[in-house]
Amino acid sequence: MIRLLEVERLTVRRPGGPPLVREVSFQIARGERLGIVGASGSGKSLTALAIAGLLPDGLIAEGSVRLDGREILDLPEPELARLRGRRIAMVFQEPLTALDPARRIGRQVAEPLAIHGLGTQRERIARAEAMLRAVGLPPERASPALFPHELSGGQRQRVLIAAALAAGPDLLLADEPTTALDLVIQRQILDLLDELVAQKGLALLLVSHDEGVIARMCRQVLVMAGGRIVRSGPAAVPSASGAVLPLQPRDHPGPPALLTATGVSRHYRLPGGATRQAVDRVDLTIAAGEAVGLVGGSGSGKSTLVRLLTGLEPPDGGVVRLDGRDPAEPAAPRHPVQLVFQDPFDSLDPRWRVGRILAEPLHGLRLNPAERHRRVLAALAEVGLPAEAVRRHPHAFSGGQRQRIAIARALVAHPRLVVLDEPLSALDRPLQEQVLELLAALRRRHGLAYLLVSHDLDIVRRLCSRVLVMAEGRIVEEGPVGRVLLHPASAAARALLAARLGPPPPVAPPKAGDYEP
Amino acid sequence: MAERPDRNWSLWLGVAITLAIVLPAALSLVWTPYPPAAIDIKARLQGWSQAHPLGTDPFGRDVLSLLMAGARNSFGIALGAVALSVGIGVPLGALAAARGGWLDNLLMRGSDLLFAFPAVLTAIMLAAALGPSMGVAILAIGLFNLPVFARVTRSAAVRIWPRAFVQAARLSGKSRTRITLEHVLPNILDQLLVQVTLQLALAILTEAGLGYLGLSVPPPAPTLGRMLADAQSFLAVSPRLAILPGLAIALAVLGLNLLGDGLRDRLDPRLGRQP
Repeated sequence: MIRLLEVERLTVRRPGGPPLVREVSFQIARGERLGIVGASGSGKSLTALAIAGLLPDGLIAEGSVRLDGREILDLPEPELARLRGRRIAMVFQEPLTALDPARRIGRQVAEPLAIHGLGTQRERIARAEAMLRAVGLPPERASPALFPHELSGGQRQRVLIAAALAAGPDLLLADEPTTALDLVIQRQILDLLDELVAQKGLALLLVSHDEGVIARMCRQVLVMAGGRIVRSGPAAVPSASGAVLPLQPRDHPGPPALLTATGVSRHYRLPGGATRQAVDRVDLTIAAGEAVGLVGGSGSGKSTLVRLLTGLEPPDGGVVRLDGRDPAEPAAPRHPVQLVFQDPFDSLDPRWRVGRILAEPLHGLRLNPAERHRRVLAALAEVGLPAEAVRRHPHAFSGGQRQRIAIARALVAHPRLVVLDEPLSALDRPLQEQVLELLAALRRRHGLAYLLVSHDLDIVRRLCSRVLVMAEGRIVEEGPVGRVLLHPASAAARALLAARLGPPPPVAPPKAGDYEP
Repeated sequence: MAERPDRNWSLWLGVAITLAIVLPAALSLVWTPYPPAAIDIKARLQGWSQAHPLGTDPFGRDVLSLLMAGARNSFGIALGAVALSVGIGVPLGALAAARGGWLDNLLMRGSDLLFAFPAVLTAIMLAAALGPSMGVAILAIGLFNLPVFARVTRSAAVRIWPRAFVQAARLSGKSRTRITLEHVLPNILDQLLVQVTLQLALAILTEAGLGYLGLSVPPPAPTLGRMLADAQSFLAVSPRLAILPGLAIALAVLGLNLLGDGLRDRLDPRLGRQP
């Protein structure tokens, strides 16, 4: 029997390069749903793009992709274009960029119909209106005559879904369709997709890094890592303990722990003789290459825990081991762990030139000046800043650029763990997006472990697979991000989620104490 | 940099006045119209003239030469005293900020104790014990200024220590001494510089007071303070003799104060950023 989509030994690579997707095979029947889950760089998005014939330039696909038994992998572009929209539809991650800002949403939804020459002008308009209604945007709420910028992020994603489904495709490829949205909107969009897919009998290939999203939508799941399918089977509701996803392609399963904390405590004496237990018997482990989120409200002890884990302060109980050593010990080599601070206006010495700032973590590594300079320039290049930045002072840079400099400083000594202490909260939204992508890319490139401290669960979700929830100095919940976000067990996690519904917190203005010499 | 022209005149006026005192004082190191100690009894108590532009004193010494040499001595003592208090006070303040805890407490209470002694009293005690000399004057005024610098340094430095760039330096494994030298001191240099100019003015005033009491440099070396004291007996005959050194002291103090205020306006972020 011929399935709707049959993928056989699909391999994606640069000509002559190592495969980025390696001999991936699966099938989806009409009305069936399949999820692909994996970390960034696992090859899951490339798989979806290869099926749609939309691989980035310079990448080639080998193997076989058949739609209704017909080979489509080597179809010429015009024929592929005829399939896209008509048979295969796609919903991508970025509702902000995937819509044409200069065209009214009604026309954008009707566009696939026009491209494929379906119906008359009047029928198309009627169809677009019906589609918008079906995705929850009736004319009284969002007129087809609106422009994308007049809609919220969630509404734009609805428009994209309407456009994808307008021409009545058989197969929907959804690549991280809700990742750019906050949790509440994510739920609504998932519910909508669920309903539409069921109603129209579509086949769905859902790609996500988030197990919770997949589990919500699909019964079958493929887990990808390093370009391969490493597991396939029923989509489990993520278990409560440990990271389920392999984070980096690795030869040895079960990587050694990079950082462990056992029973770590710290209290402060308050004026008047009372004490406050800032951190109370915390146990945690971070594996090499793992990205872990640490969330909690203000005053939950996150910042103190970070100071204890990085050795900036000794704990008054318990043991911290970083690469087998105590980071607070004076002779401890500092380079395995680096910190990226919240406020880029505070974390760079205003008197120092960027070149000197970046070389500071190399202190004690006994490098010769040429090697030192080379490392500084390499770190600058990694964060996308020009080499001449070394001669300038921090005040010559914007907040986003300063945060890039701070990230470069964290990388220059080749650390294994980077602690990110609210690294985005002093930046505005578009900058947050850029820095987030930079952080994800750097982690992929260097196999870094991250401990991301944040009060913003959406940011944690974008970067991390596992999350720790802190309240009153203790870790009250721990688990895969998807599960904690969708089914929070602790009161603290629920409170954080509830807080998500409020308006976004105001962006911290640059401090008045900061000045240009 | 946000400049405030309406306030910046203070800096430039301060620079101009200070230079007007400092340059002739410096010149006296190599040249004065007459040797300042040269007595010429026949020419005593003369008024303005070609030969003596500012006249002569009761011993017939040239007042311009005396003023130049006196200002040099006063400035020299003030500079020496401030150098002494900066040299000891700043490291102590920086140490207190870097270490904190009991050492911080000990150093700051010690400086409070020192603060409780007025400079003049200290100088009288020291001069009584050691005999008046330039060294004693420098020591007395320097000790008086020392706690000021220790405190200013400490309070400025404790605001730098919690900043993220200092924590980044700690993560790179640098010692507290090294962080103090590389990060903390450069970032509080502005505030110290302002304090140095203001304390210089204060030291000149104190030195004048000591000189007036005869506790500064012993005669025949002139100081502005003793010129004032010597002029007292001739106030009715020749008020010029009191007015001129008085004016020199006043201008030096005014110039340095304006300079300090101007520097603060220019360097202080809280004042400088305001539109």
